Amino acid sequence: MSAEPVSKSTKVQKRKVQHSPSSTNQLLNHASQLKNTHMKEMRRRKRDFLRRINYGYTFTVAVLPALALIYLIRTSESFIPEKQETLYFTCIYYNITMLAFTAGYHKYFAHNSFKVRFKFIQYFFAIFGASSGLGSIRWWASLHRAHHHFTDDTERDPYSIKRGFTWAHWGWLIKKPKITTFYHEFMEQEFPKNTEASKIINEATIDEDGIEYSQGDLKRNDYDEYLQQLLIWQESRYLILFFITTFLIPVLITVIVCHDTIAHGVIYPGLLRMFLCQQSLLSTESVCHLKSIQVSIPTQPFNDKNTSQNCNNPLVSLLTYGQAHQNYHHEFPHDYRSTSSIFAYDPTKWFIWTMEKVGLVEELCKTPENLIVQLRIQQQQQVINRMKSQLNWGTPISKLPLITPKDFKRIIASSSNKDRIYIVIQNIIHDITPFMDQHPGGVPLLKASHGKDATKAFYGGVYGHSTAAVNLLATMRIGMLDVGNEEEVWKRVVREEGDVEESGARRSNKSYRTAEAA
Amino acid sequence: MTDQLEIADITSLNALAAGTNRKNPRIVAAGLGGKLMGTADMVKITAEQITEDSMESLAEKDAREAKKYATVKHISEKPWTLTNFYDHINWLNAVLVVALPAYGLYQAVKYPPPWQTVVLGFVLYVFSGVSITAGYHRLFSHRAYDAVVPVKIFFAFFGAGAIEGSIKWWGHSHRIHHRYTDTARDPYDARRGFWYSHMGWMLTKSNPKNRARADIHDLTADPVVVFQHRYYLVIMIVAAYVFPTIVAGLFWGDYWGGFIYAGLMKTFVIQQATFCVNSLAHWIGVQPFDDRRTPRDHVLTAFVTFGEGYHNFHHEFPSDYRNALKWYQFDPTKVVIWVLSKLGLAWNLKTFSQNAIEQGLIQQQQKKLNRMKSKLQWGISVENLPVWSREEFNEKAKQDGLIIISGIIHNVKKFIKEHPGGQALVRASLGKDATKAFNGAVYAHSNAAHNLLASMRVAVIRDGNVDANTFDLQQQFLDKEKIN
Repeated sequence: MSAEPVSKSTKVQKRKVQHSPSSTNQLLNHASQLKNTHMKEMRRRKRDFLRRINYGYTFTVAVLPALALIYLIRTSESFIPEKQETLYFTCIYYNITMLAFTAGYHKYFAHNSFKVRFKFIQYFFAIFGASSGLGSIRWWASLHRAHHHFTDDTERDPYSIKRGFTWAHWGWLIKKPKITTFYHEFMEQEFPKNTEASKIINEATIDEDGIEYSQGDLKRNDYDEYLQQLLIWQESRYLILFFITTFLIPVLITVIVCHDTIAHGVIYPGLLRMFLCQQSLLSTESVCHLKSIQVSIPTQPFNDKNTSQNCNNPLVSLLTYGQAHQNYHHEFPHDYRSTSSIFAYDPTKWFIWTMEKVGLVEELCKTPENLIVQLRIQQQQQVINRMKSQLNWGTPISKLPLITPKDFKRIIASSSNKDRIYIVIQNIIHDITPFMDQHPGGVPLLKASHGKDATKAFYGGVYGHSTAAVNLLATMRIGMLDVGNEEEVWKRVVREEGDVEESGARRSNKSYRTAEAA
Repeated sequence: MTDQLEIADITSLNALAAGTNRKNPRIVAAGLGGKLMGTADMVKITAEQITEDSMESLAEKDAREAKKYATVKHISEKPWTLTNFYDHINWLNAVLVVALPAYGLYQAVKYPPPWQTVVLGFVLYVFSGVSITAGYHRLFSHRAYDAVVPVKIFFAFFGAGAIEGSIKWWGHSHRIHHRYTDTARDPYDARRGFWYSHMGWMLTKSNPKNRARADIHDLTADPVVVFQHRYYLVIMIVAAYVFPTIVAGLFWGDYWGGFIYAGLMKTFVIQQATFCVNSLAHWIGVQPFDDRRTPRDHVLTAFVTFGEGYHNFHHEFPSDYRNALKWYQFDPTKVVIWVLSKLGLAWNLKTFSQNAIEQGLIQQQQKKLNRMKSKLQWGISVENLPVWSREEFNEKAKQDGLIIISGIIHNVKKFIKEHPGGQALVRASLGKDATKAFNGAVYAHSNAAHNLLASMRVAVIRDGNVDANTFDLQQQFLDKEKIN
């Protein structure tokens, strides 16, 4: 390797400088150091409850909805707006803000599922996404990336289900995370604020002069200067944006268009809608990661190594705004759909798809069907292998004792074995005695083949036995007849036991991976 | 080798399995010269031949038939025409299975019954149905359990009322069906279409070439079976028609309704239900245990046939007294047998081990999975890839967007844009070895990522970077071990 590409590569990686192996270790060491000091501090002020509350989030996800509910109960008004126009507006506004969040915050900023062609789309996402009260793009998207990166890691996964349902749902908002510093560094890594984005991008373009890419390609999911400015702007003015989208716009429209009171404008399209949005978004991380809730009919068709579940209950789909298929999403996070099924309830997918058809966005990330089926099959294979290993498949041939025909005849002839039935099939001696009465073909057939080689009769001469019969036979093996053809025996050993160990093309396909692990 | 093992003689074993080694009276369809229910042709034994039937006489008969049909074709081998269609049809069965029920249906539409008759018809329907499934089928044909004599008599009486032949004949043809499933010898061969396996086999004359036999020595040793067989015609008429007519007539004076509803209609429904096991259960449903043969599991069949609908399981584990395993599967016959055993009227209930059942399930799943696997693109296997030298790789790397991972060269040009972790990372490793970065240093890629990578394979690099070539690493490790 020449020296030139090395220097270039360091330049390129300046943006995500933590990605190089050594610096990742540094980062992790640094994180654990920080964590340790932080833990000490936390222990010191253990009773200092008030300092551990995240007031911003508590205000938006707990206090404001609570106030709204108290108001409704005190004035004994209905939870659904009585005036038709307000009701319609609330529903429409719910969908608008929800789409801005799921398509914008989630799919665009956190997962880079598509590319935006016009800047106003990004502004739409940034402004209306703020109305959910779940924080700025930088903070939420980087936490979400941390969640995907460290799924189920109790420390670093911000809403790890291993810390309980309440934590994954609300707790992570109300309580400050213990490793706040780590998250800030992670955020700085994912959406750098202080580094000059433009500089890095330019270097990268100069570097890759060997390959022809259009300018559009480069901006694909790159964090350019413009995006950086947008995110910083949104973060710094988050409270203003939140106020505008949660109070100002709803109230104005309710009063002017729907001719309703200001209070109703604040309550229905403002706070109750926000509360509903929050519950929809938060339950994806809590309900859809819980295996124990059987009402959601959870399955893990792609990967059962993490807690993400595909909830097959339409009600859960409705609750989570179509994001109930978390197992799919965790395996293919950059897919703009939340499941591969065409008919699934998935408003976000419809919205993004429509925007693409209209020409507002482009380059939707779509996982190839082949890949999805592959993964599904691999997972099924794993489940089957696990089940296989729990069953009795009979003594493996290599572990059977070798018995010469002479000895075998002596065994048959001995008086203590008078009532037993030994049948040789493919040179393996089977003790059929316990099964005798269950044999569907009757006992006389078995008795007639006692002490004989019944291979032909078993495999079709008299009856072509089913697979189940072959399995049952294997469990009755007691010995191997030593007739001197070791090669044949070895072949069978390889065929049967090799099969059990490797089971399927997948392992052989991935053999280089196991070698890697070794 | 002198002490070579004796090989079981197929011919004698077959004779054993067919029961032709003993001199049992082997009539299989009693009454009316052996024409009732099973066609005489199918088993080729008439009243004259009741007395003796041994290996020798069978061989003799075979020779006689070969001579007979050498020049003249049997009726079943001739095509159906206007002039010979009446020869194809077994008229006795046509009357019993089609004509009488059709008449009963006509009368039933004309004549509204009192509720007592309906109840009687239903009760007799259940009695006869259970006698066929729990008695004829699972007790006598498959010996799935043993029962006391009164229970056997109950089954023999009400089973005869279903007009499906005697136990001996029924059990014999059922054993043939299990032994020769989906072959020409199968009396209700499902490969010949739905209607043939449903009723056609019974309404037409069958080819004597496809004759088959099964061992029924245990049935001929059973006095209940023998008695029922000997007086089958009388028992059948009494159980099917006379008994319901008299019950309905004596208790509520509805002689005609008893005959029509509890006699003709009940028989018709039971017959059709039983035929459904041969047709519907080989036609609709799933095959969780084995898909080499036609039997299938379906809940609809189970509802029609008192729980005989889990036919795939049944053909795989015939002597199991259950047909359904799960609690939610519909199998009242299993419950009846279980209750009988709890009452002490039945014992020795046979079940196959759960291990064997699960093995069957898993193997079938594996089979399906392998079939799906073979349809997918898994990338070129490593053995079939060309080998490139380092220079060759360096030459093409930049233009084609090549990356080495685990000693294999991948073309990632088209994928760069779609990389979830951003383009920059991939672009930075173009023309380099990214094994460590791919396998965890930067991000431990998922299975899906590995699959995708495999689809982009181009070639294998000759003596790649030491870090990447796992085989070299292994060799180094082994060498170290040797020195130590």
